[in-house]
Amino acid sequence: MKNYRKEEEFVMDFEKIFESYGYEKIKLNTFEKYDTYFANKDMINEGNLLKIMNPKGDLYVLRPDMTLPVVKYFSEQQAKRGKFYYNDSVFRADKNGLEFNERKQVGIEYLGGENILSDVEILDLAVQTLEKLDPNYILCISNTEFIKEMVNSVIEEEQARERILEYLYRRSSDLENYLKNIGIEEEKIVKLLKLNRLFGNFERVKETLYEMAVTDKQRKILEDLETILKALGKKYPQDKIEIDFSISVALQYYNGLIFKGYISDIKKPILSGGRYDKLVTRFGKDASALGFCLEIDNYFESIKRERTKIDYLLFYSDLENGFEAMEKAREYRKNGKTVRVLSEDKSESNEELNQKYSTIQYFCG
Amino acid sequence: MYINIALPKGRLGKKSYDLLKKIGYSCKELEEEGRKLVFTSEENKVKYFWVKPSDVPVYVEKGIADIGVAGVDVLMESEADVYDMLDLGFGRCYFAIAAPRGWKYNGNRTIKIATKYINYARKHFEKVERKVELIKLNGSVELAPMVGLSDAIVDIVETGATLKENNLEIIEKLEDISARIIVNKVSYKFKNETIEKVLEDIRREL
Repeated sequence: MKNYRKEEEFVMDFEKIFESYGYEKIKLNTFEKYDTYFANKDMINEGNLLKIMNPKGDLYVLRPDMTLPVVKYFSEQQAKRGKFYYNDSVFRADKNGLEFNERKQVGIEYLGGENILSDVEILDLAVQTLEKLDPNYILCISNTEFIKEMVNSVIEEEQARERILEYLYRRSSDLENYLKNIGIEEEKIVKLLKLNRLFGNFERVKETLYEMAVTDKQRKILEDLETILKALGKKYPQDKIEIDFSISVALQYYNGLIFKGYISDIKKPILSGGRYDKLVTRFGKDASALGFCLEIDNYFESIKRERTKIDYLLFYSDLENGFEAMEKAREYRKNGKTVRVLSEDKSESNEELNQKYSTIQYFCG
Repeated sequence: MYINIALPKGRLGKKSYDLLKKIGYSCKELEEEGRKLVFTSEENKVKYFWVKPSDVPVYVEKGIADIGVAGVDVLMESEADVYDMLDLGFGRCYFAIAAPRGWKYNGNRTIKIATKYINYARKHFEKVERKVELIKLNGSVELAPMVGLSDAIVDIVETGATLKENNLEIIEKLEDISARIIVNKVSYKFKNETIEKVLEDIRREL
């Protein structure tokens, strides 16, 4: 049996960390108006939504993520700033829309942060979260605006831009030929190919990054990134934080910093986040927005944790020694032990029993 | 640090292994004839999986293998979320739509297309906004138009000889295909130096 309480305790440790930074726990309605998502379908994959209709015919969705409901909540408040964390379920259909599932997510949203100090705080918390999951973690960092500037400087046509982004997402070896075929200048091709292959901690790739930068905006992004990473570097080993422009090309949703966290045992990102000011603007509020979410179910599914045993199993054969066993159990429990009292049967082998219970005692006359 | 490599059974896999051997990843176990599917070389710190070609992207996407060799055809059909980092240049062919000689598209009805590459075909026809009915086959796709199962086929073409023998001709040439080194996205981060070195050494050999 999985120990769900242990899992909850494990999650609670994250909650404690978030609270120590002044984040408040938020609980929101599972159901959201379909219109809210439909209005933002350019940002959210609308096809994956689980839809529900009420008797009047209004369409609702089971929330597919926590960020949008949190932003919506925030936009309805007077406050200009808000720091929230959640530990809740999200619901999604698979890509064919035939199956659906519920996933637990733990995450934070920092709304109305003023400057790069909020970036530092979010990344700091992301690293603390990863560290707690597994000391062998990697946090990959990218910046959507940096990529955008780069790709936009190469070509005007929207379709070609998207194609280039797809190649970057796959670090595809086809990028070079594609750029040549659409007639991009050699110098620009060289820069994009560098971007396509870039990976490593900031200090190592710094020179390449500054060489790649074509616009002032890009240079400013790099300077900010440098400041942020320097602040983080004081606390965390730099070799665990890498620059990687292939982690996401979801440029509609995010604007600015994006990051993904990995631990070596799980072959997909366990944590992802970034800056999403535009979503907040959509809800009529002008505030900076940063956050991340941890796919905690993926972690619990992949990590084999030791099962906790029950301290005592007391077997009895008839009512009389059953009462005796109950008496003994009461004594043990008083001393903080966990005890189960059962009538003796042979449905489980000794081996199975020894896996579940530390000590087995018999009350059989 | 060990590197796990998924190779496709068959000619493509053998050729890829020869290349990997040249750059220092030989594995004696693999060279002995047998029915084994997993081969390890303690000495060179490499483990090979010998799998069905269309399964290579699955092994790599799920991270059982850090890298693998797959044709663009297999890769596109699998829609696996992996890095496609190196064109090996061999295993060259291309996707094409083919139909019986002299066949003309009649705009009145939905055309039937038989193919092994159902995902690829669906995407292609969605992109060009043509409504088709797709029929999934697992082999001998050329037979389908001859016996009236479909109007045309989407398949990979190497020399075109098989098409000719079955009285088919190419209507449209689609994506070029060649063998690729694909890489698991998370392995790439944790085993970056090892994987980059493999890629660099192979580039030098090609």
